[in-house]
Amino acid sequence: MGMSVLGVSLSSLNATLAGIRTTQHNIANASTEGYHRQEVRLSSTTPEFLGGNWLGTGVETDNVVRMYSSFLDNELRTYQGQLSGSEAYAFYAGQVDSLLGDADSNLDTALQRFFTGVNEVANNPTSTAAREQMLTQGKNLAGRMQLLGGRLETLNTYVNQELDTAASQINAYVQRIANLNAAIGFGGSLAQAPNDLLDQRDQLVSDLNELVNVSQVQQSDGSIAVFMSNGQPLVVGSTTQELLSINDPEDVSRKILALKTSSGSVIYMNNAQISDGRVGGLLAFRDDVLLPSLKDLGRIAITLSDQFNAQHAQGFDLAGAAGGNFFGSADAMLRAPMANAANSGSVPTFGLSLTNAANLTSSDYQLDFDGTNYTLVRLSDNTTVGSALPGGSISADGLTLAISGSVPAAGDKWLLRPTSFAAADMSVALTSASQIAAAGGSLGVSNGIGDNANALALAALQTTLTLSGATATYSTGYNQLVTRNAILAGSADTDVATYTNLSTITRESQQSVSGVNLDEEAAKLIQYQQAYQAAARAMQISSSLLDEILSIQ
Amino acid sequence: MRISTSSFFNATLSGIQDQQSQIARLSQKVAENKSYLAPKEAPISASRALELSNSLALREQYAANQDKAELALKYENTLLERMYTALGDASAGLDSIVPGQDQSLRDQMAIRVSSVYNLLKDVGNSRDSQGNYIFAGHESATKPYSHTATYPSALPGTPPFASNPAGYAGDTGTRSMAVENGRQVQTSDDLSPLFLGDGSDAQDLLQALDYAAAALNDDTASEATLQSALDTASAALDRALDVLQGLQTRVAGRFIEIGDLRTTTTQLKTAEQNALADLSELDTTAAIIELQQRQTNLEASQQTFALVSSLSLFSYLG
Repeated sequence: MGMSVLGVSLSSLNATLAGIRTTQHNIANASTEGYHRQEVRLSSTTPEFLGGNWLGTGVETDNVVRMYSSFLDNELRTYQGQLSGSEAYAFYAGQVDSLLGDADSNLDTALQRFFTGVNEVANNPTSTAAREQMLTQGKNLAGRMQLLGGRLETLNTYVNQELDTAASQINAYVQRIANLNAAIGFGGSLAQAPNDLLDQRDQLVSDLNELVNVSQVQQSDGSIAVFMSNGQPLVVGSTTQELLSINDPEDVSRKILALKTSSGSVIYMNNAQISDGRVGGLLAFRDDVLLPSLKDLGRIAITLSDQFNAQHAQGFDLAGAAGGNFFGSADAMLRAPMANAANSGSVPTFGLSLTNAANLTSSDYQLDFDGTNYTLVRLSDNTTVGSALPGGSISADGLTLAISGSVPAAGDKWLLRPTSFAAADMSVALTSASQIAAAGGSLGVSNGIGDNANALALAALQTTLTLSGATATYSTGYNQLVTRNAILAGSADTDVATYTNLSTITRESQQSVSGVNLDEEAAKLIQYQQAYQAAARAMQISSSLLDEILSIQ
Repeated sequence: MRISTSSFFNATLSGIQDQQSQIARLSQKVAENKSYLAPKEAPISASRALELSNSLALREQYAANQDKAELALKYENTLLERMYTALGDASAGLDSIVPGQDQSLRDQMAIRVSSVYNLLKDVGNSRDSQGNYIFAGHESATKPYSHTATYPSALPGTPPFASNPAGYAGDTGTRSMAVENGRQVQTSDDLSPLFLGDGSDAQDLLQALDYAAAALNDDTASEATLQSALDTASAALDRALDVLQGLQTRVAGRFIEIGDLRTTTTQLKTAEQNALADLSELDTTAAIIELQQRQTNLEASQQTFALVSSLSLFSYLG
């Protein structure tokens, strides 16, 4: 009996040591990301039936559990994914907003200065200084357009690079989740799962979800399966599928995500399915802000070049010669249809030209070939705007598309983004200020060098409704672009604030369950210390009891 | 509610960071005197501000054009006034001549008429600061009037005077400037109707004046020849004065038009400048008060953090 009395105290010392160790572990991990505090669960050991009574035998460590609420953890994970997405969107949209809206660098200032130059030539058509000024301001305007278009293209490159990085990060996370699945899952039961490995795996899923929205399903073997939003698995057990960042088959200048299945085939992710996470934010920024800005800016560049050149051709220069192109040819700025990477037939020859720049839209178009006919569909409203046989041409929305050469295969398709690449291509074609066609004339003969009729007509283009089906001036068209982006960037900032708040509140709730409180751990240390002292004292007493008995002899 | 130590710290810390970033943004606004730093902070105001600054730039352009148009017209008006005085002077001189007058008086009159002739020719060939002939129509590089005077040589023949027409090397083109959106004002005039009349020799002002001067100067000229020369010159002068008065009236009308436009342009410009300032400039007083409030808040947060961070049960455990 004496030994079992000692045993009770010994079990108490052991249990207390487990408690102290767990407390130490909590203190050590107080700042570890994803750590859930742990608690020791104790239970009394099986009693002994002695002398008709059940006597206690001590305490044992039942389990070390982590304080975990799947509801709060999932809630936090969702908000953090949304926060991460809106942060990426807001960052890039803010860049576009300041680029296009800055009082010093915006297009409006360059437009105003250019037309001031045109006015000065109208005021004094033979002045070399005024002509040089107009030519310089024309170059400045084209330069500003190139700069804005170039910066937007650079942002597109950044988005592409970010998608590459995100894909490789996602693959790394997925691999580690698969490894942890193997370590945690197989054959084990969840009740005895190693808490710290579970924490690490949960944290990896959170990190993954901050990049791209995923869903997870708990498996009976303790492992988890993680799926992309289109239902394709990234990891099941210890098997993974690779995520790729590859060229969009419709437009190779943009990257999109795709999954490489175990059979080696590639499944493209639909951008709309990736709603959250940094990747979701990047793709939404590209679709909502970047591409529309490039199109609208390109449209202004093309329309201005075309209309200014057309009016310039009506006039005569100082030598009495008819005006040539002031800006580079607008037709050359149009981007021909881009072949889909999956096209299998021969490549036809496309000739794209302007019929009426004022009618250009900001839409994309899809050109399909069904084996007999080409059909052009405007994608903004899914309307068929024209069709043609091979060798024919389609005229719609201010454009004429002539299709000649080889006949492609049925099912081949092309994406037409006529204005998307134009901003960076704007240029001044005129080489000498004396070639500015300020004078009017008729029947190919100049009115004379002192005439300013054509310069006045050129200057009037500044206030003429020239854009969007003759509803806007160049300047109001640009203003619409700036305003639209400002609203998008502003609401992205609001989203960031909202999701920051939701994340903070949810994190506090989650931490109130799972976070370490050092004061609490200090109290526990004291509690365990006292328990240890009491158990040690009890052990001492039971030892002295034995001595009492032994001393009787 | 249970609170984790990291939440406990983070709550105060994020408060401090938030206040700091607000103060940084606010002081940038004060430094740049802007009510917003990027359009996204106030999309509607920013859009309106873009419209206004574009409209202001146009107004400034039109105001500059108005100044230039007025300057061109002032120059023309000065020249026309000089012509008007000279034509009136010549007309009065010719009227004062009576038959049988002494040749020395005729010589003096010849000199007077000849100087008017020269003045008119000079005015007709006026050039602007850049050397453009302002009365040559669109042929601004071409000297419009290159008549060669007969005076003081003897009379080449008898009237009618087909022998030495003045001619005109310019064209009838005129120039306008854009002084408001869709509104142009003519800033140059064709003087050839004044000099040439309907194109008949009898109405050629320079030829008539030159011939009159030569006739007055030539003491061998018959009384009838002289009278015919003087009559022709008088008629040409009267007609030219008529044309000139019409021109002066039109130029004066343009002055009034520009003046009216300038008033409107200036008023609109001021209104738009004020509206733009209201939209985009910072209410500095309000901003500085807000800055002080935020500074107080930041100091409070920092003190709270200092207090809170020293609270730990471990401090009391020996």
